[in-house]
Amino acid sequence: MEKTFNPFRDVMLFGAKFRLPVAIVVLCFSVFAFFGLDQLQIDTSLDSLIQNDDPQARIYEQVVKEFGSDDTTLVYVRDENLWSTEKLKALEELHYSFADLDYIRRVESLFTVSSVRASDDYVEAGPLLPYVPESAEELAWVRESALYSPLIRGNFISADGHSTVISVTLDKNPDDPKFDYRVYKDFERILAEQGGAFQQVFQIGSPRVRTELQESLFRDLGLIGPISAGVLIACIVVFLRNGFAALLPLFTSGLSILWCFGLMGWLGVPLNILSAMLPSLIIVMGSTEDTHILSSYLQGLEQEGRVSEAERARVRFKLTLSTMKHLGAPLVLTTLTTVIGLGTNMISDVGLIRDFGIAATLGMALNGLITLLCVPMILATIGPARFSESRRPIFSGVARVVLNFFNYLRESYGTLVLLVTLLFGIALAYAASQMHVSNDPLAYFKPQHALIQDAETVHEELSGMQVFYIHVEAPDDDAFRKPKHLRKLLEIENLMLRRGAFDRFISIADFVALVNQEWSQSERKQYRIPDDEGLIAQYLLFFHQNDISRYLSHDGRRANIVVRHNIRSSHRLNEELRELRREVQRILGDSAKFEFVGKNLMVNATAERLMSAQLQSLVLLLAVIFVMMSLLFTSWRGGVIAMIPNLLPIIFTFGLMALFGVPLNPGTATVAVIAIGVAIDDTIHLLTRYNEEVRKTRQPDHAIRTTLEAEAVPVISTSVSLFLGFSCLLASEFSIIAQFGALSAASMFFALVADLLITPILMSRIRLVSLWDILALRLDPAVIRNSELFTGMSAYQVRKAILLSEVRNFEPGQVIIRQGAIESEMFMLLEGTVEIFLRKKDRDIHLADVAPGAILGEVGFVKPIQRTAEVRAKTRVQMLVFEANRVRVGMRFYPRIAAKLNLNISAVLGSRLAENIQRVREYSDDRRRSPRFSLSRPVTATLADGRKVMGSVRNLSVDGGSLFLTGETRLEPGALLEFELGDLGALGARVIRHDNSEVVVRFTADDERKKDLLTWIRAIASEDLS
Amino acid sequence: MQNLGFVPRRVLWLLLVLSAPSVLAAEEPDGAAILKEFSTRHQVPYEFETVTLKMTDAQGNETTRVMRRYARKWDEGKYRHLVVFDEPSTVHGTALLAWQNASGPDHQWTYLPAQNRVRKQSATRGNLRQYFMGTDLTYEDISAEDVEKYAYERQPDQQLDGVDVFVVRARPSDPDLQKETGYQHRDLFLRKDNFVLVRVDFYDMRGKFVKRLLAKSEPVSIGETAWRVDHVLIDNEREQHKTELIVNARQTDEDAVPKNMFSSQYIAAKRHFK
Repeated sequence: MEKTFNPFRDVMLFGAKFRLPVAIVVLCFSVFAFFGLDQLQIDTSLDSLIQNDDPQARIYEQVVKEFGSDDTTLVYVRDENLWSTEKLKALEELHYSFADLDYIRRVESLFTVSSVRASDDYVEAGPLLPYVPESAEELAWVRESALYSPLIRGNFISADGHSTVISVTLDKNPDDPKFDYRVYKDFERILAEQGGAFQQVFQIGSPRVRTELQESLFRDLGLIGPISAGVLIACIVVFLRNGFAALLPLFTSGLSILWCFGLMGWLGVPLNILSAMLPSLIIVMGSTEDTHILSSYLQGLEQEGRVSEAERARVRFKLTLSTMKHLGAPLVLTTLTTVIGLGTNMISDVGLIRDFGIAATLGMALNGLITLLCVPMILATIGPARFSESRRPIFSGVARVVLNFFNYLRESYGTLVLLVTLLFGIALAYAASQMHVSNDPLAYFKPQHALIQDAETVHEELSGMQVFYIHVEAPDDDAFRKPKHLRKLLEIENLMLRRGAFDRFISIADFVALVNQEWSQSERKQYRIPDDEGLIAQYLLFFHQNDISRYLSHDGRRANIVVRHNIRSSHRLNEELRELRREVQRILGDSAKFEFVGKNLMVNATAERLMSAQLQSLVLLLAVIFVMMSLLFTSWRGGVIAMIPNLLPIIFTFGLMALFGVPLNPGTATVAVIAIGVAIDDTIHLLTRYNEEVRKTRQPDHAIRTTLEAEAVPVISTSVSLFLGFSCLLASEFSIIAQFGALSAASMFFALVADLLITPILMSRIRLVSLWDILALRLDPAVIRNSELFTGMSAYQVRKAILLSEVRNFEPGQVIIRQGAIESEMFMLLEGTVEIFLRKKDRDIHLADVAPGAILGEVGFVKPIQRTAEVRAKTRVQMLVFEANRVRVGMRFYPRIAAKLNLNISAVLGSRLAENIQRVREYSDDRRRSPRFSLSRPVTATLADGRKVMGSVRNLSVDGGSLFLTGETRLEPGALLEFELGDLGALGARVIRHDNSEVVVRFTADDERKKDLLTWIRAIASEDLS
Repeated sequence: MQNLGFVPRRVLWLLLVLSAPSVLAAEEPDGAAILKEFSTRHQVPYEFETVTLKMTDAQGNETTRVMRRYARKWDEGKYRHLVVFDEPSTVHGTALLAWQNASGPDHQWTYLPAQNRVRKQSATRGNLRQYFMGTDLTYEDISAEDVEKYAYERQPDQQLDGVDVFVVRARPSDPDLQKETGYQHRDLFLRKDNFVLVRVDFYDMRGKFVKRLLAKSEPVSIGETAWRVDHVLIDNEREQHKTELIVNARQTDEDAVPKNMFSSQYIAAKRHFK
């Protein structure tokens, strides 16, 4: 059986066979990609975190258009002596410096914010700080007024009066991709020039968030990639002990990154914060196949032994070909699964994940292509050609210990391991179902990041930087200039105050209530909505339309409660909003409808979709991989079994995430698909190798051991590389990437355990046939045509049945079936010729030669039976061996094949039975006509020369029989002799041949005499039978 | 110190048109002389107007109010003003009473009919910068301007719509005013032929442009030397908001502005209601 047809092989060997053209193409494309780098864009916008079809987006646009943006940048200022003339003047300078910038829409600070306050006979209404007071009394009064006003306290001044913010609304230029960066830098410049007057100043807002994201992204790209590369080199050197082997993956990874980023540039796919892990992913994940190839190559080199200088080129080429023949198909398949795993992210509603999905898919696909083209090219050209004992690819140390441990567990506690795994799986699956989601951009940063620290400061001293609107719409014009609706707004605010989840909330009701209070001698209890609609309208005269435009629509039908908060957990925020929604609905009833509006909310709402989207991606991926595995192993049950080791890491990882409170976010959401994409690689390698091994040996356990020993180095080394590579992501400045790294590392560990422990346990219980084995199997068509065993089976089914069976090779003369042995196997001759002998004490009687397609020993398949003849290989022979129990186990997942095979075996057995019955019948008839008997009594015969010989007669018929002599007399063919047959008297006979002790004779009597003989024989037979 | 009338002093200037002074014909006047001539031409002792205020926000939404404005020359040449809102009905009767004060900040009272109370309102400490009743005019704009507290610098003459104008830059010179004003300076554009103020550009304390006031109609004569513009637009670029003042009717006889109406008691007694 020779594998000569392989649809992948030509592609696999392309790089090795056409080295120069491949090198030129690779070089050209690299140059093309290099120029694409210049086109590469960076996207750190919040929009990429919002799902495309979010219905809230339209509402948001409308609300923002009418009420102004919720996106403001805060400049935080803190100074113990803030309320001094000097500091306030510096603050005023700062205010105007920002106002002077050409893209500023509005600047609000203590110098512009409206203050309404009664004092003595006056009601003061106007900006809190129209100018910087000089006198201590005035400064104290202004400070007190700031802390007094609910519109100012917490919004513009901290409770201790030492901290304030300047709130800046920008006229964003959507066409300027660097707008936020420019804003951030301008603000930083101003703060650097003027901020020295204060003890603490910083800006916080979307320009800073985006810029910090971008800068962190670049730092990550510059830091994590090299660390991953270092880890990769270390792992490969440790496991493969070959420097060349360490450099090759670096080359392919580096080239893949160049191609990937270059193509992204040309295709307009932007880099985003998730892309920061891309180089690391490509280096770590992309190198796994390189490691498998190199490991196989080096094993082949080890088997080559010493190679002379002249032979090196040939050896390189030969090893490259054999390696690629062996690993090419798994390489394509594993690349495909990884690409599919990452590619499922491309269907995400969230731009961030979608762009990352495109980039990562592109990267891994290109890496697969580069590996296919460049690795054979490089190995065949400059690959290692000398094996050094000192650099033997290790299967010792850690790998040996790990494998021994797993072997011990598998062999001693296989079932228990499965049971415990199942229980853990169920428990962690339940835990995973409780997992939280988060999509807040601030949560992308680590808690110790300066941005987060600053956000915390603003939150603690004033109120959170996150803003959303409770947008309420009533059916009637001027509804929110009437007491009824304004009171509902205040009720909602009071509700939020009681709940305490949000920092600060202001609505038009606060303006009205404050003026009412101040017009009522500053009585706190008068902080309420008056009953008179006219009074409300008159109060509102105190404000310019723009002062209240953020809170009340022109027609008075719509109102906003502006809410500030610092909740960075999407889960908590969404929970709070759900509760708040219920309460607001209760308060408003049917009088008005409402929406929670804000970009921040849309981003966080995406988190909810993230979970379902992730589930969709996962289900899609699992479905695709299941279909692939089912096709690959030509059995849907096999597909299920192959999935188990790959599902376990996901369940375990998600379970741990839930237990440790790590939320599902855009980073961690991709762990599952990446983990399964990676884990399936090793599963495919293991199952493929196992199938090869189990066909060579009768013992599944042995096949498993052999498989594990062969695959342990690449599997463990790739897993450890991946584990450490992903761990490098912990160095990321982004918490979501660090979390992704930690979880991916954990999932790699689980995948390793699953592949080296769970997969072998499952493997020992199944037999799977891979599609490419079926395609690659070359059979003599005559075998299929002639063999009764395959009657009614398609060529595909025949191939599968053959691959599910044990194949044994025999050398000429080797005994295949030993006469007299009690065995339970059935054989089918695939190639070569066998001879069948009847073994005698002193000689073997050649019975027949058998051609391919013949079935031998079929009775043994049904029931162990003593073999009645011996079968030997006449030429080099390949036999299919069917043993009832092994066939039952091996074909467990292929019931159709098993059914047909069993049917055919039954048919063969039935046919044999029918033949035997026919023989018996013919024999009986013959016996009736001319019975043959062996006489138990001695017979004497007289030779022509008078000598007498003694013996017994067998197969006695009217024509002749066999005389088994007891003496040493040699009778030549043609010699005449005369038998004395009891009362029949003498009977003449001629010797036909004399072999050993058997003398075959033919009677020479005439027909009349033969009739007497027949009568005599029947009489003797009756006597013997009785 | 000159009283240029009620509200919007700068608006008033627009509403005032003085006949061309002969004293200026002989030589090129400086900024102060232009303003002095301007102010003396357009004074009337009694004035009553009904004015429609039309405010337009950035989205084009319009809000309309109708008010009455009373102005009467008082002792020492100071003026007293009363503004009463008539429409919409929810603000009907809301009143602002202002007394120009020779020795300090103006006195202001606000009356809210729904409260039926008069509260004195501070005319200092930033109230000058506060927008008046939701319009684009600040209290500073509507307060009487004491020309002695300003330095008027003549700028190069210009042409506006083919008409020669003086350009005078007004800067607060009084230290107290400098502290409270919302403007670093204003550029006043006065027609050379009749001293009609056709445009005012307002600049904030940093010298940044804030808003522009423009005459939108031809001046009408209201007396021997006094002229008024009946349609004025304030285009507030900073706030993306506009206010138009359209004078619907005007009287300049004493009976139209009785002396007793300029007191808080008069308002509290609701006598200002129509």
